[in-house]
Amino acid sequence: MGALSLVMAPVAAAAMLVVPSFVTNVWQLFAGPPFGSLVRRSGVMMLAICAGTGLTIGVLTEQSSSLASVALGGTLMLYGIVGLATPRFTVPSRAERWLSPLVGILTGLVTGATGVFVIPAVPYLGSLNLTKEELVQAIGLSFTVSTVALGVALALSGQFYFAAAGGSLVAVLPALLGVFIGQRVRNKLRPEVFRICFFVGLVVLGAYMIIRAIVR
Amino acid sequence: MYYVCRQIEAFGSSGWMANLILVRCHEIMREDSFIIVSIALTFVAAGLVKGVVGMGCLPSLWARSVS
Repeated sequence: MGALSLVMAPVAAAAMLVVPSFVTNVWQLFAGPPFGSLVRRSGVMMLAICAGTGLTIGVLTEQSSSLASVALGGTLMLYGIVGLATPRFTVPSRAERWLSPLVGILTGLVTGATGVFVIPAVPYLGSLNLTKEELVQAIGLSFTVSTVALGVALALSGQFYFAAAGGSLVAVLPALLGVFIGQRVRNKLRPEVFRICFFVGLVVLGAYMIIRAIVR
Repeated sequence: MYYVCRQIEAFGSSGWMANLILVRCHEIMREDSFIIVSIALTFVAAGLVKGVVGMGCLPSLWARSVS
């Protein structure tokens, strides 16, 4: 019961998300095909995410960002609905060279300001004509880099306490079990069904961000 | 019970789904067991969503909760 009360204390409950979030992102990255080409393809974007996060971390640590969450949630929902309603939208490969750093810096700026990793990185990755395995792996890479960048930025600004993260080790096993089951489900999905799940996921995530910001 | 559900909500939209099940579980379980099962179920649900589409609510909510 002592350990349990530690787990359920507000600070520990918050910090409980640290390790499972990081571990599942890293697993997502390593579980797919070799990702050397992915790193080469999106390396500049990842570096830009780090730079952008560092630039706006002061906003996240200084003020509430409910309005930004509503705006980002709305954008995500809109993108998900458009994606469901229209044929596949793809970014031409020749545009990646200049678009990737731009998307990276924008994602970093949004991450530093709001703590939300998905805009515009996930819609952009979704438009690169990747297979479902490559897309999930690319999202894993983006989230891993964003998590580390945000953790470092918060630590440097004195807002993150590593000692509180110990309780989150407890949550790793059930989170990994869930990911394991989810991966088996994904392997059985046809690409078109996965695409629908992906866009529905964006709509649900966007709706959740809006509701949470309003209800908070 | 209320406190536990509020904590679970912090884990994302999958936590909401877990809450619906847990309200029923709470009626037949001891408090300690209920808390353990609720935490485990929440993370399994969050992991499952992440395993299928590659993303969930964990990262962004973590960021906001520690800031």
